Formats: sequence, structure tokens, C-alpha cells
Amino acid sequence: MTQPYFETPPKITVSITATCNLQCKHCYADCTDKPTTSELTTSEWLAFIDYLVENEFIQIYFEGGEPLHRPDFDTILESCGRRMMTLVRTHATLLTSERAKKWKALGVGRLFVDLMGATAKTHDYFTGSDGSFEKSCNGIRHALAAGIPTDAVLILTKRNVGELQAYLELAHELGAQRAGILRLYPLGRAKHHWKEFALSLQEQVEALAALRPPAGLHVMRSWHPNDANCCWQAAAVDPFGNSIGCMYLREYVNYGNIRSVPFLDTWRNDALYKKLRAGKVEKSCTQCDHNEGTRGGCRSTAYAYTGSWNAPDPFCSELNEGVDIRVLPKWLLHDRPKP
Amino acid sequence: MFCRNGCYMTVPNLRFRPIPEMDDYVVFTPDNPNLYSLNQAARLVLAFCDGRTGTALESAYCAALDPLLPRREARAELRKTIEDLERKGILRNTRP
Ligand code: SF4
Ligand code: SF4
Repeated sequence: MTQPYFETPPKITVSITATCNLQCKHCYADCTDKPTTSELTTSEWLAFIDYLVENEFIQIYFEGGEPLHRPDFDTILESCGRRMMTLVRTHATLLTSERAKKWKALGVGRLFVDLMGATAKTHDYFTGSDGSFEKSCNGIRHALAAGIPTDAVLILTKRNVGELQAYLELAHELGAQRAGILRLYPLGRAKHHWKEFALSLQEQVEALAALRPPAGLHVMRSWHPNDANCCWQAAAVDPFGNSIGCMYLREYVNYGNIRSVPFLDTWRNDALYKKLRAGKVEKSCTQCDHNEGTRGGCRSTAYAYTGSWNAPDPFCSELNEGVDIRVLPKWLLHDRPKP
Repeated sequence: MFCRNGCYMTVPNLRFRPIPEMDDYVVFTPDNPNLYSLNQAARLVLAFCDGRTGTALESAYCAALDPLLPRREARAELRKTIEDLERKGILRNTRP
């Protein structure tokens, strides 16, 4: 199965800020409380959203950092909520009932709320903030009450693997339609806590296999066979305007900055961007290639563990080839990781 | 529910995104935010929904598919498609 080459991608992810009111131990964005001056301004984001609409983008997915921590976020939502399917990933501690109603009116289509465990003890350990669990649960309640479909998402680690089943039950009780169990990526602060958080692949596979979702709750997983090499359609921009394809590539690539190059020029002209989208890998599981159109799994973790863009993804049990994913290559811990 | 005397138009403010690379055509419905993939039948129905009546729509649809699809089947497909598009908030009958 070959994936198409898009002239213009239909969807994009925007990391709107690298700031957050929490200080999670696993934060991929290494968030700080205060913004650096180089984050895109309100008018730059608004101009970019107009550009996306003019170029027929039909979906925008916001994440951070914490989008709600940006004071202009509602203005940004207002410019896109009725022009593109608008999705927001948030920890929702700042989402009041009034704000949720406003977001509904602005056209927000779906929320993904980070909840790192089934209990306050576990979640608040990750966030470093007592009471954050309760606030996030309330945020989910407010969003659902306002009529915004909302999913709970968790990044699987040693610290929350024991409460996965309880997590699904909690998500269901809160009224979420879906729960997402995501794999841990060696990025940002997470890689510096790797020993504490990372499970072996076998432990992850077993934990997922043991799940018994309550009736009516759909569980999303980011492992084989759904750990697709989805780079072929991936478009993303970081808070500083860099075109980086996917937020999981944030530390490894930069295809150009939208302050100086139109986004679609980075899409069409950057050699590495085109190479990753072409999906040429050394090895892939034929079954998944056929069924899912995925070749070799996620490019971010393939690169993180091997330094090669063409290598198989060690998070896939078919392609792991003996890599112990609890052990990170040393170069990855540098500020600007390069093998 | 399909109505012969109805007057069919697309809901305002929809955004369409052709994705020829995947032989797909996606529509965004801002009033009840969602993305839907439109199949060939839906695309053809929408192309005719310029305010014409259900009867006129039926004639146009059946003529477009003649002789590929027998009239009875074309009519059934049209009704099903219209109802589906109405349910998704893509099409409305302005004279229900
Ligand atoms: S809530 Fe999210 S953005 Fe904020 S510090 Fe935690 S991981 Fe980072
Ligand atoms: S880096 Fe991984 S998750 Fe991101 S687009 Fe590529 S394959 Fe998909």
C-alpha cells in the first residue's frame, strides 16, 4: 500500500505555546511558566490561521505547553473555530464552566484532556501540583456539560501502569467517549526521568492486553499495529514558528520558520521533510504495511534509538530487534540531540 | 425524511476540502463541529442541491446515473443519501 503525496496537507498540529501553569516531570515541551520572547505573537498566529484556511486546511489541532496558559488563546480559537475542525489538547485545570461554554460557542470540536492516572496521588505526582487531578477532572466535566466531546489521555509509565483499568473506568464515569493510552516518548523532561518512567516493551504490551474497557468507552492506543508511520501526512508548527512535521520530532528536525518561509514551501521543498513523508524504511512488517499503510512504525522513536531515519521502530514488537527501550542512547540526553 | 416537495440546499458555512490524492472529499460542519468524508453518491447529490425540489432532484440524480443504475435503485440511493446528509447537518430542506 502506498500513501499519497499531498500537494497540501489537510490537517495541522500547532503547539501554541511552550508555557504552562504546571511543571510536569514528563513534559515533552520542557515548559516554563513565562514565555520566551520568541514565541509567535497573536497577530502572527492569526495571519497563519488565515493562511491555512486560504490553503484549504480543514483541521487544526492545538497543543502546548498548555494552550489555556496563553492569554490570547480564545482570540486564536475565535479565528479558526468556525473555519476548521478545531481540536485542543489541554490539562484543563484552567477550564471553568463559563470558559467551556464560550469554547463551545467558538466552535471547538473536541478536547483531549491529559490525566496521568486514575488517582490524585498519581496524577499530582507527575504534575507536581496538589489538586491538579481534581481540577482536570472538573475541566472534563465542564467541557462535557458544555457539549464539547472530550477524551481523556494518559501517557503510559511505570508509575501509572498499575491503575490502567481504573483509569478506563474513571474516564467512563466522567463521561468521556474515548480514552487514549499513549506511549512515552524520550523528549523534554521525560527523557531525563526515563529510568523512573519507562516500562519494557513486554510490560507495555501485557498492560494493554489486560485492559477491559467499560461498555461504550473506546480505547485508543499508540502501539503496534496502530503505531503507524504516519509521517506521510504530518504537519506541525512549534510555538516559535518552526515547521517540524510532528510534535514528536520537535527535538530533531526543523524544516524552516514560517516567519520567513511560507509553510507550504517547507512542505514542498525541505529534503528531510519529503524523505520522511515518502515512508521508505529498511524494514517493515508486511502485514501492517498492507493493513494500516504503515511502514516501520513511528519515525521519532526509530531515530531516537538508532540515529537513523530509516530504521524500524523499537516500540513495535514485530520490529523491536532486541532493543531494550528502557535504555536511552546517551546522545539523546544532550540539549540538541544529534547522534 | 425525503420530501418530494421539499427544497434542498446545503447548510450555510460548510467548508469542503477535496483530497484527490486519496479520492476523498471532506466536509467540515461548523454548527456541530465534525468532519465527514463524502462518498460519490453524496457528492453527486450535493452538486444538485441548489434549492431545487425533491422531485427535480430525483429526476436529475436518476438521469445522471442512467444507464449505470436502474431508476428504482437510483431513487433509493438518493433518499438514503439525503437522509444521511440531513442527519449530519450538511443538507437541509428549506420547505419542510
Ligand atoms: S501539563 Fe502538559 S504542557 Fe504542562 S507541564 Fe505538564 S506536560 Fe507540559
Ligand atoms: S513522528 Fe511518529 S507520530 Fe509523528 S508523524 Fe511521524 S510516525 Fe507519526
